[in-house]
Amino acid sequence: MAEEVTNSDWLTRRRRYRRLAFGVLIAGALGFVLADMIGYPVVGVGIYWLGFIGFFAVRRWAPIQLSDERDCALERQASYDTVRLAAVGLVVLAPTAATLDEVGYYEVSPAVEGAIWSGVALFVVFASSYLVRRYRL
Amino acid sequence: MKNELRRYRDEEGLSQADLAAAVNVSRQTINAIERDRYDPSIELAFKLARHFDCRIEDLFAPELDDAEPN
Repeated sequence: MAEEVTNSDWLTRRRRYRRLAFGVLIAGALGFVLADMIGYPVVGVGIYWLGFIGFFAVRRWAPIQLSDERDCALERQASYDTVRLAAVGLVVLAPTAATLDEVGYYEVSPAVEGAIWSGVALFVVFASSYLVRRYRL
Repeated sequence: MKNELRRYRDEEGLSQADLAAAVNVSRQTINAIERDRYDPSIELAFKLARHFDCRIEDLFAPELDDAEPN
């Protein structure tokens, strides 16, 4: 006879697989730092990637759902907040920095310029994703 | 959206964790619904109604805006 999975078993298993997924991720990050510290940066990058692969593998193949609809809704809202903040930064800061650089009051550093172009790239991705989903391309 | 989830849950003597496991969501999700901090999807609302053998309208009462659309 199949063993009946109680509600507490289900919650325990869910907690266990979530800890496994995030544990693998954190181990990968720590492995990257440690490997870099002892002089093996390439190995560290490999460990880092393995951590991410392991994280997604656990989430994909766990026999139990690890994220529910509220988790997904929270992720969507956090992504939305991030994009809005990036939009404010890009709209306000980017032309300001460019103008100040143009008139000679401020020299845009490579780091700032890189951040601005990263923001532009982010919105190119956002717009592309939006258009694909809107028009079902 | 106002809901009667806690009342139905208490009548059945279920903990939040029990109900969460029964409908395949986290305990935090049930807690958030009961505290009006999260509105469930239609699918989850149907699952909850089916679990309690009642109508969705018995569980959830949307606060509809009476303002006319633009």
